[in-house]
Amino acid sequence: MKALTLGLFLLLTLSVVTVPTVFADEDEEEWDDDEREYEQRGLGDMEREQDREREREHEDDNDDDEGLTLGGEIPDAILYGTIAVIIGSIAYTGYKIYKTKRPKLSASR
Amino acid sequence: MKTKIIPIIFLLLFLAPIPAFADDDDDAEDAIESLGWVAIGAGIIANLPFILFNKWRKYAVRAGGQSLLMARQAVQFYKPVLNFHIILNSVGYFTGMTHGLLLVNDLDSISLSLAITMTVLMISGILLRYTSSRNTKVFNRLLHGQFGLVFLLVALIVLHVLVGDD
Repeated sequence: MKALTLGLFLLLTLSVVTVPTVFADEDEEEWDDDEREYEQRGLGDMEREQDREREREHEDDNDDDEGLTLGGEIPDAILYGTIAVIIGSIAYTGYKIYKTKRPKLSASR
Repeated sequence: MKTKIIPIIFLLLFLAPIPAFADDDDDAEDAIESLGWVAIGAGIIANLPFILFNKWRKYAVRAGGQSLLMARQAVQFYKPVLNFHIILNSVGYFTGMTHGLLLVNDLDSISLSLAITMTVLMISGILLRYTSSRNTKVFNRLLHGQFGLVFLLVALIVLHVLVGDD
């Protein structure tokens, strides 16, 4: 039963890990589409590269428009708050165990 | 009968993320976004029944009498409910992480905080289930059920959905 459980867990992990392969060919297809378009427009290698560079710059500009990216004051506060809560929870759990074990030791003396 | 049901349920869970890709739309971002919704759905289905079952069992034991008898009879359902909780949470975790990895370019602090919180809860759950050390079990049992962590997870999911929709 334990082996079955582990087997199922492994299969589950693999099944989810394989999902990204669905998107693996996407860039290649996009590249082929671009190549076809350039051929139709009769553009040379240099012009193609300039066109791609413009596209990349345009994408970077779009990235700058994001609302809550890393590095802002409020977003950073959320991240630090999360880390603080996790550390606090771990510390509180440890303290709780320490507190419940301590009286038993003193009672046995 | 029981041995036949488990693979069927597993197959259904295995197919759960597929509707995310069933959309014949060329826009891959919609599909990746759907993965996030699959993760949230799996999380709700995995946790709500499990929490309710445990709360009811505790209440029934405390109440005594007829309720105590019912709680004792319900012990046989604990393991299947626990397995359901573990499997669906694993699906939710890995789907959520895949969603995050595919959209890593748009990473923000809320997503990162959510990923950290999910990982902490997942690790404590795995350790709680699969470790044989008594101390580790006790520690992770207390940590896994911390109200603060659960509240943080829910708050981050709500924030992530609100910010992600903008």
